[in-house]
Amino acid sequence: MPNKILIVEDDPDMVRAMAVRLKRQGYDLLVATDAISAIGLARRGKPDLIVLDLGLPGGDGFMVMKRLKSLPDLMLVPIIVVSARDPRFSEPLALQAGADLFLQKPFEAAELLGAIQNALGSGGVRPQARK
Amino acid sequence: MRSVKHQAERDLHARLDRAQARLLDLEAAMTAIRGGEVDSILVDGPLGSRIFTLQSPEEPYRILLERMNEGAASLNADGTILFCNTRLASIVGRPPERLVGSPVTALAIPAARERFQHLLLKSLEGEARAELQFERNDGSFVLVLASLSAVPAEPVCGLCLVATELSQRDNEVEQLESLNAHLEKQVRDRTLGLQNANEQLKQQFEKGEQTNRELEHSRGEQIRLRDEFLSHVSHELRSPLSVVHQFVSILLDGLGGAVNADQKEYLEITIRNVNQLKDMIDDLLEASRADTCKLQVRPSVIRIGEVIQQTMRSFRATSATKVISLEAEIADDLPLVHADPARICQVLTNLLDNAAKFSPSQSSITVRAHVLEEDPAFVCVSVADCGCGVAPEESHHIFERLYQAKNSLQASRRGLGLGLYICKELINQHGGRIWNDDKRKGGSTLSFTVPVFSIGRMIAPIIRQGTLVHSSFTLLTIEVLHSKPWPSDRLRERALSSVHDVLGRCILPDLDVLLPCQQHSELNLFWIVACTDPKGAEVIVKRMREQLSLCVDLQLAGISCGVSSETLHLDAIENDWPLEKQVQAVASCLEKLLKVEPV
Repeated sequence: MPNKILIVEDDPDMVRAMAVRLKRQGYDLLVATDAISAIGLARRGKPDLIVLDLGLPGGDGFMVMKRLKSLPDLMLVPIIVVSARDPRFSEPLALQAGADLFLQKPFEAAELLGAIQNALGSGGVRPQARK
Repeated sequence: MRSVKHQAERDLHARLDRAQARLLDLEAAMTAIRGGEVDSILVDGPLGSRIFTLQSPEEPYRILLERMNEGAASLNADGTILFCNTRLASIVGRPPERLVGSPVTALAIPAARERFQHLLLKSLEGEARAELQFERNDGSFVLVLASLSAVPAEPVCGLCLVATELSQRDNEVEQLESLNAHLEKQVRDRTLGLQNANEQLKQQFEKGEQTNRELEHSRGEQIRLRDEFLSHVSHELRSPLSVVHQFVSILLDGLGGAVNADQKEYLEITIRNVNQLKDMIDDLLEASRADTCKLQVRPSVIRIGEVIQQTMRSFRATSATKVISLEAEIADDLPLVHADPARICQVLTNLLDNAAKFSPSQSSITVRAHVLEEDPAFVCVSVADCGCGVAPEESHHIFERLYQAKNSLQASRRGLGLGLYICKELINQHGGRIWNDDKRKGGSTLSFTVPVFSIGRMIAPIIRQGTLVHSSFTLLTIEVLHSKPWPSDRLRERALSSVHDVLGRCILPDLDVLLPCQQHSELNLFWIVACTDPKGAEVIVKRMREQLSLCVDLQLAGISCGVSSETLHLDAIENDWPLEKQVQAVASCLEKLLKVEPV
């Protein structure tokens, strides 16, 4: 069964671009465009990985991470943050909030695909690493 | 006739009697004078009574007495005034001749005469003094301090009186007090004036301080607002740029269908410009960081030749000016340098961009790298083009913020005027310098230097005189291993920088040195020289392993770390060697262990 990836991104064009790439790689996709629906969709859809933007309507990426990390069945799902924000400030905050990786926009497609492959491939070591 | 004769006879007798009486008086006076009983003689004459004092060896003392500011008199044993000075006469307001011969007690008011008499008797035994009221001629009285002392002399004992007018002394005291008060008032006034001036100065100073603080605050606020604004603008520009980038690369990768050669070229031009725009946005942020000293440089040990080659390769691949040939002249024996490869790449790319911008087509750009002749502790990298060159008057300005060269060939590609400014800041942070060769004709040459890596320089701070004998040094080797091929160089750099950060948190700055990792190496190694014994090293290793295992992004990127430790054997080193020699010895020991040698 293909891995399921939840894309949380409020820019439909960016969603479209990522969707083209990820679908071509054979992933199943879920898409949320705001913070609230992102949490709902994550709970219902049980994704294997989340690609999360930080600036979102109805909250922000940090709020989404905080909520997801408090849910037992979602706390171990890897999160890759993709944001245009300055990584000097936002990267440490994102990692602290529970993100596994921070990619600054614009990024090379290969970077995102490589990170996703790594995260899904090394899922086994994550439980020990986490707490 | 007979009666006239009688009358004349009687007259003569009478005159004889008077003359005899006078003679007797004079004889008595002479006797008294000879006996030393007379000091002065009062003579009535047509000009009134005059006092004549007898010349004696005491004359100088009499003059002295006359000059005294106190009243003075000499008395005989029963208190009769024999002589007095004018001052005493003036105190009581009577002529001196009236005083001589009168009892001294008569000077006092009647009520005080008895006390004066007692004083007189008492003084015969030596000295006595008392405050007494003297009666003035006009009926008023005056307070005096009367000091009486006995003057034992043969054949009779005498006394002397010194009378100090207290009211006058009081006057003087009063005057002094008033003077004093005046002075004090002046002092008070001046002090108050000074205090006021001081207070005003203080207020002005505080006001200045306050203004300073406000300025400082408002400057800080302005910087914060500017940073916030730039950060916001950068974010807002990056988002749509990101979409453009994504779709162009989707098309280029053929995900939107097959593209022909022309389409591919157009798409490549598009993506190059997207990257240029992205770089400009980065420059804006970098310049803002440089202004506030927030530019980050993470030096490691690198082969700069490799960084140069790599940079030139990617420049060739992305540069629009393909007609320009790029040549490299890199010395074979370049030592390892201590520099941030990403930053060196950034600086070099910027210099190449600049060279291309100002070069005519069909020309060449040459990158050279060699050890700096004047100072072998630095490697010099230069970029030479055959363009229009930098005007001599511009030479010093081209590294200034927002400076625009006047003779750019492509006015549309002038850029923001931040590139060289950022280069200068980055090279400065490496401890090197950047300059334009203003003697060059027929093009321009921009050069920069970076320091040669030296273990000695890095470990010198932890090696102190006298510490060598008592403490041992441990070399910790941390090997960063990756289980899969790196998805991208950026990710690898990030991973190494994460490890660097974790290790940095595990060391004590005064005792341990984290040597920069060798980026050229196939194995990504970090070394820590720790001033500790094997037991201490164990503690550090344990802590490192814990910290590394907590670093989730390392786990996610498939990275693991191996840590090993090794005690340095430094037996040959003597404690009384100079610091430099000790450093050299430890450094050469380390160099052997680490196999750090020139390429």
